[in-house]
Amino acid sequence: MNFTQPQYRSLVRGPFGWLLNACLVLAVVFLLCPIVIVTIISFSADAYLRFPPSGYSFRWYENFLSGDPSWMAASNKSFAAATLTAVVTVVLAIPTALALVRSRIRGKGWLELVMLAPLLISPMISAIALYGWIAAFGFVGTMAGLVAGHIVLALPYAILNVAISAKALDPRLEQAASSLGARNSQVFRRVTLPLLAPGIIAAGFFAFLTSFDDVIVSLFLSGREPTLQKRMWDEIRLEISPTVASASTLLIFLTIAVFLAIALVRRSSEKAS
Amino acid sequence: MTSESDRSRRDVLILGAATALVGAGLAGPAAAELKTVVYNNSGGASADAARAAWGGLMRDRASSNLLVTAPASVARLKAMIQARNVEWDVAELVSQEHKQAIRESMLQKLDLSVIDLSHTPDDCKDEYSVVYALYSTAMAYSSKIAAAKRPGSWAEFWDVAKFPGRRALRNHPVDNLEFALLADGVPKDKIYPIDFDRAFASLDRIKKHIAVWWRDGSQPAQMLIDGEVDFTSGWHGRFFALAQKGETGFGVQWNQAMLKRSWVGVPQGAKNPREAMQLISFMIDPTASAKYAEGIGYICCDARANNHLPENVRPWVMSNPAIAELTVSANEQWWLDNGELAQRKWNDWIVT
Amino acid sequence: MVRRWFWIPGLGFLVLFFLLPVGAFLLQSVLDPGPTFMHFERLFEGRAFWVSLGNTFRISITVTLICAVIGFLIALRIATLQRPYANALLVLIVMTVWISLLVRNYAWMVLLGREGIISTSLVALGIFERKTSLLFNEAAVVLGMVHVLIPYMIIPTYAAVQAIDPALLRACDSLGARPAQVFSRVLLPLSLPGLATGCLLVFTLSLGFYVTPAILGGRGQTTLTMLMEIEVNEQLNWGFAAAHAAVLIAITAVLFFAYRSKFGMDRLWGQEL
Repeated sequence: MNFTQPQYRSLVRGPFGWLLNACLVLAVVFLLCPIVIVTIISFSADAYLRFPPSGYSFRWYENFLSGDPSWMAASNKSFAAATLTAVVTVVLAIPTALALVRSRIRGKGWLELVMLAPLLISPMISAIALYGWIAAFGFVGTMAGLVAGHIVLALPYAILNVAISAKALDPRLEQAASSLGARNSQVFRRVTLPLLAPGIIAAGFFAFLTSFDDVIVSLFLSGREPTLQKRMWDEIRLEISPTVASASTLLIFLTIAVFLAIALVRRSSEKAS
Repeated sequence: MTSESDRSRRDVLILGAATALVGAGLAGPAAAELKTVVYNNSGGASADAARAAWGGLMRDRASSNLLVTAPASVARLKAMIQARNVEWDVAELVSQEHKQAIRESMLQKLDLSVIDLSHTPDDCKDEYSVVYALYSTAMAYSSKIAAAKRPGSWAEFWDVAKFPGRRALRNHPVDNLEFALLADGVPKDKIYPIDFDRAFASLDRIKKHIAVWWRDGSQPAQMLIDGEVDFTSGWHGRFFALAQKGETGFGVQWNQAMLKRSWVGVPQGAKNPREAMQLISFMIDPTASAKYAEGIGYICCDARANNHLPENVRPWVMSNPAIAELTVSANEQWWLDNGELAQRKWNDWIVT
Repeated sequence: MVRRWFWIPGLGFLVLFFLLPVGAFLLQSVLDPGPTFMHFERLFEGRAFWVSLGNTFRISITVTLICAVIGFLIALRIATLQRPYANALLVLIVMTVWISLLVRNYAWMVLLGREGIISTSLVALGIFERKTSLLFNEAAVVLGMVHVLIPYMIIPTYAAVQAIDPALLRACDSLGARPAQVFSRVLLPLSLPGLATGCLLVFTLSLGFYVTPAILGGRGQTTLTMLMEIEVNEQLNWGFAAAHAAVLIAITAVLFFAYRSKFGMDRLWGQEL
């Protein structure tokens, strides 16, 4: 069996090839190992973190799901915030992505820069700034404030995802629909949106994850009742509790599920076109 | 171009995903009918003890879920009040912090129709706050070290030649400045006002022998058990909690422990002041306070609480006269006036 | 189909919840309480700032260098694989990016802790005398950050390597070039722009990191973002925190514009928009 493309085969022979292979294998182990270990340890029966565990049980899942009610309350809050973030982010991202891909106005480079900036500037700065801003208007601790912070972090990536779909979209399809007498709103709803769907769905899921996984904004804006990440953060800062391992494992599998969902959507849309 | 059926299939997909998400998000909060009362304290074992001692009382008598958050910080409280976003209903205020909170009008007056202060000594209460926990920062040693080789005072802790071993201290000026002066031979009634130069000069001598500057309260006992260090400072409740679980890897030296008081109050702008007052009344209730002591070894000032203590907890509480006479009382007023300066000097000292 | 107003929702949101808040926050560095340079004077005079600026740079540079070397080798190996294998690996790598950062850092706390697998195996092998925590030091922070950031190096570098014309490599082959020569004369120079993109991303993200140094680091790893958080949440000194933020943004901006003038924006977005 040969894994390598023909033009590279001579390159990956010999010691250099060994080095490359070693790097790749180590990288995969390095990236996956911690995740696997957290999953294993979440089933530990021990009172504190120890690897390998001396026995296995569901006690930390029980603690997460029913033992200490603050965990489920935090999960629910995160779910609600992430859902809102996903919906609003997508609504904002669609027109922006279309404008970014299609309009040819002066100063577009600067507009792009604004869109990109939340990715480059430390989220700590964005979070503190928004915290001060929202406090001045008396919105601190509200769901709206928290979600606004999450949208700022999620929007650049969502715009990018929709923009990739928008670039692949052939404008002649819309022109054809128009020339056949469709109104603009019809064209948008019946032609543009469905063709952007894979990008939109990916954007929505990623925005969901961005919100669900955020620590920094939650640190300042989650209010009385913490989000799941804030709850985990508090726990981790005080001591390394095994309940966090069970919460982490659930988060890991949520992420994998979201990824599978995106992959399925992409595949079905590729088949369709 | 996509066919009509493809398009509607996609519509269904998007709609389905959106409803699933919204449904899942909304399903949660509806379940909560009880009020949530947020009590912010130092976390860890003290949070567990608080839930065990007062969680049931709050549910039964105040129709509330007790949510314990951490860590305790008067600075955070002040920031919350300024931002008009007070997340805590009851705030733990360690030592001088309660004085700062009162000075800066952060607290509501205690509701004496709910809280009975008649059995609390005068030095443990004021109009706005009350001591709910007497505790200490004590020296502890690994049981593996022979009795003759365990330091009996801070001067001996500083004496690395006579008492060899790996050492740990907390990464914070509080208590450490006092320990440094005691180590330098200052008598315990002459510590305050603290002479910064003398204290940091004394700390300079021990600095390179400190293997770990601990950050969270669970570290000291764990490090002793694991053999990571031989001597450390630590909050006595953390040693107590592990000793109760049958851990024998460490012992506590009460001599020259810093005796501290932890206060509670209800912040201005708290969302549930009534339930907060109820919680405080439980915190200084003799039976409930003794129950709290069973979890963490901290007890309120009401002497009646001692009557409810199990035998094995008595040797661990600061109301025990045999311990009290060995300890050094922290000066809350000095720390109120100098805490910020001390912290700044510490931050600069520790990073170099 | 695109209308002028398409810019408005996305941009408007970012102006309202990102640009204005960050602007207002930064202004506090010279306007809190009145017009003043006191915060910057205090900043540049205090030892804590210089030490933590040094920490921030030292950690960021170490992380970037490690990511660049290892990330490039990994990207090179992936790019030389047959497409299906390469795609599978890329999906895996991208997926780890979406697993909560807190979870991945927590995993390292589990691995490196006193009772973790590394400490216990080193004791079993007789290398360590007793179980020791490997946490709260610079190595732990660097490890945690490389784990989080290496995908940001792999992806753009992969794109660059993958875009190299196969004919070039066939030419090398037929001329009898050794792997080392192919690497140094063809592969490395042609992937430099991708490597530069990766370095910019990894370095700027490192500068703004908070979670990893805060939970895996010790007293020697206090970073600028950690000082900022304390100034806001505990000292309530917004002007002073803003001075820290201004320094951080200024550094990021210099790096970004230097990069943009040399390489343009397209690679940063992942493609031309």
